[in-house]
Amino acid sequence: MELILIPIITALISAWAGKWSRRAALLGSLITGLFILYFFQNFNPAGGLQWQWDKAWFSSAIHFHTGIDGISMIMLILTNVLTPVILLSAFNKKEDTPLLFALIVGMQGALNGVFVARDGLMFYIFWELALIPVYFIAGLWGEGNRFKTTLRFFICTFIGSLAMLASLIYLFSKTPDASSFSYEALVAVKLSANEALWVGLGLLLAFAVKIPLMPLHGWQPSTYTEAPAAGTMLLSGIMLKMGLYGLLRWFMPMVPEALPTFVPVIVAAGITGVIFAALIAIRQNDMKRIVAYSSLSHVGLIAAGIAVAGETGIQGGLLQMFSHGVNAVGLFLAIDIIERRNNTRLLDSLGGMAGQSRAFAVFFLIIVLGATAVPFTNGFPGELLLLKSVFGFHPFWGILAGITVILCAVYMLRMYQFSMFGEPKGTSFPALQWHEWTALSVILIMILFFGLFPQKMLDISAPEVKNLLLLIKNTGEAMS
Amino acid sequence: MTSLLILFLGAILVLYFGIHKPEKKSLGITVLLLISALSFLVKDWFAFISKNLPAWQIKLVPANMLIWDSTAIAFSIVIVLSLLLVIGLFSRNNNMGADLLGLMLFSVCGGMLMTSFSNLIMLFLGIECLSIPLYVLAGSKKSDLASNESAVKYFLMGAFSTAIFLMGCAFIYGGSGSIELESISRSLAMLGHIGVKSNLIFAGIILLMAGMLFKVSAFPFHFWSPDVYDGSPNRTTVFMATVVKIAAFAAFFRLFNYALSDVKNWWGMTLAISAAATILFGNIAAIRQTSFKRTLAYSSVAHAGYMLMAILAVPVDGFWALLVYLLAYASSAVIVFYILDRTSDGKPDFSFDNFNGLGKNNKWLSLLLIVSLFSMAGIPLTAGFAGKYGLFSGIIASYPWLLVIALAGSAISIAYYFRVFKNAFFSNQGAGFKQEIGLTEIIFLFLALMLTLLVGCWPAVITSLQIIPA
Repeated sequence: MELILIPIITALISAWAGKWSRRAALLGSLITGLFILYFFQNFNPAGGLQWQWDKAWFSSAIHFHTGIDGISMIMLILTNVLTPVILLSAFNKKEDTPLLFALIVGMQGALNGVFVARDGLMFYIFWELALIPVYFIAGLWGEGNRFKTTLRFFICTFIGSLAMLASLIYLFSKTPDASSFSYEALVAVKLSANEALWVGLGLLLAFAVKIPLMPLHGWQPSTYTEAPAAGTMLLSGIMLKMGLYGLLRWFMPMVPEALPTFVPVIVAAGITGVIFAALIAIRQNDMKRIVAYSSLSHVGLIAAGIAVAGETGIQGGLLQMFSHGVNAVGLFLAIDIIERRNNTRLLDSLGGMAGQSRAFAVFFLIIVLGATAVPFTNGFPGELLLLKSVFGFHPFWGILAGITVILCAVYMLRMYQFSMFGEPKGTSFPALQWHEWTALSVILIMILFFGLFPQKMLDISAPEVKNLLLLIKNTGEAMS
Repeated sequence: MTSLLILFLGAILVLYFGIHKPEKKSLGITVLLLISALSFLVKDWFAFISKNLPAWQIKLVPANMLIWDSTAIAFSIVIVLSLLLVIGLFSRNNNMGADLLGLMLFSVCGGMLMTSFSNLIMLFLGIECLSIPLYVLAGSKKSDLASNESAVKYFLMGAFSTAIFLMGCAFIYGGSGSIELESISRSLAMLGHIGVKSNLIFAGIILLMAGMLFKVSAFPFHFWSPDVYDGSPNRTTVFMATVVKIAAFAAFFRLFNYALSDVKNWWGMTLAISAAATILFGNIAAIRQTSFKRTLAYSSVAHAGYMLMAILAVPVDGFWALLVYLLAYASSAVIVFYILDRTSDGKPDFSFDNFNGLGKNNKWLSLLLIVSLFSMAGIPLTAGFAGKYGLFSGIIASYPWLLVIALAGSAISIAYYFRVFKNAFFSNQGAGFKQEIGLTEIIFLFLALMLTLLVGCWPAVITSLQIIPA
């Protein structure tokens, strides 16, 4: 509850706080982070749902029900660590932008709402709400043909959300006496195979558009490229994870009856996306576009790994969701820093920055290595688990997915090499400012820490993942 | 009931003031009348909750004419509230004379009859009482050709549809032997008995439906509404979009759900198809418009399609969903029309370009615009979503395909609602909007905004007033 209210109130204050807004926003965001720290300290991974808060909301059937379990915890840590970083990254924007900070903090509240929701309609409401700040961020401060791009982004995701709403309402109407939207009640609904197919399709559409899975990714590269840095970080770092989280928490347990049909489709779409996006990324000149496609490539693998519905895959997926969030924000942060100093982010007009700023070169290198999944960075253990699980599903897809490691190294290192080495093309590289130092350091610590101790993260979610799998299995078997 | 008398006598009083006293006072009196009518209605409502009032309270000789039950009170409250908002927001510089105010009050009396009839004759009188002042209001910009055109068009179409409706009444009378809702419903329950002619009743229902579909501007009888909405002065357009729509839907709901619910299998599918076509047509046509006022007219057609779903839903669910939806639509439409009116002041047309630069110059109006357009599009935490949710969950069991079409319509509607944002916030051109907003207007805007947000964040505020509508 605090996790939702504090950011939203902060956003309201910060929107009208004038020159104090950035400080107010950061403070509110950090306070929310402290709450997460407190929850994390007192968190018992095996304790199921904790810190519940349950009040009737729309009607007696629709509750405002929040609670944190192992899976939510990882997402919450991700959201609340990254939001202050994103705020810091935007700190020296010259324009008058109290609204930008308000929107970012508001986004934090909505995202927390998505990750703690235990009620179907509440989940939908926050899901929708998280879309709005990012729409305005991308629309107001974006570049290029921003109106068209953001509208396309909004409509694509909105169609998905509406399909999800239809599925949720349908599930609701099948609960005893149409009496409850709660997660447990919706999971307990038994559907016929045909119903499960349609309901699953609705839910999957929402999540697949957001992730985005391969044929539905049309909105993603242009939105990432044209949104301002803060918007792109929010989108790639956290919002994508809403789709993956939804896939794991809301899609698979709701329609276990239809999973045998859906899993091959998701795996195929995911792995195709992995290869396809990686190949495109290699040819790009715009750094943001490279990272956008690399993002597409990574989440494809995560989605495939989760969909296989084994413990390895889901655990690896969760770990990789976290790592990818950190790495993507790190990459976009680095690109933003480069762009601010050179007024360009095209590879062919960049170069030689390593000689100009050693500190930045080190930061950037470690982030790139993290994204490439080099051992001892956070990208490695998750990717390993995911590949193992996809390989277990079918060796063909496993081998195909394995190629991503090579392709990823190619485009990431190409990007690093072209931008950092060679003859300096920019005039000078002003030293990093304090807020950039802080933001980069946070990212760096996360990359190294979870690269060295991935077990810390896996332990948080392990019991809950077991429960979830049990839930999927039980409901599935009761049907067949 | 008291409120109906207050408004009717008050309307005469306002006209009298228009002749003898300075016209300025008539505005204050109208607002006072509306507030007192509203308070009587609220008092009636709470009396109902504590069950002090019998359902059939007013029985006029020689037959039951009016029924003042919870449905009637609830819809009347929304009607009077919307008129209050309309008058509060559209009467700046005293541009509404006593004549217009009087006509609006008379029209609202008709609207209240339409919520509370228990006899087809009374419904017919209500429709006429609502419509005749409206024909005048549509043409109230006397020197404007478009306004005159819309008045004539509306009059011809309206008269035609009323005739069809009356024909339907005659058939129902022929088939069932009565024009009272109660006895019609009784004879429908004994279909097949001697004296009940199902062919005549069936034909009557189809004609009644055509007449009502015309009044709510639903497909295939929607074609008049864009022209009429576009041509009428803004204050009349918003009056038609809110008050008239609410009254028409209240009547539609009562007629089909109370009197004809036994033969739902006769009209259910037809109505569902009409609703689907209305949603699709309204939304798709709205995308292609260049005038924002016309876009709003088409969007109001689309909204009528959504509201038709309430009539198809289970009566109790449908009632609450319709009430919330009407309240949501009225409060956001009033704000959007107000902003449209202000931004296009002194401009030749109502194009989207009029909104240019709004975001830079007036943050509060921008906020209002965002919230109310979100509400119209059905984004969560605004009243529009609460209404849509109620409608969707009401029909999913019986018409799942209609739900899919309604959702598709919602997605399409984003395209034109958000087009305004492009002009208002994302575009840097335009001198922008720099006008003073009076204190009264701020109060009423705030009221409408609060309604939208309160109902959106916490619809239980309305739906927890749970009494089963009689």
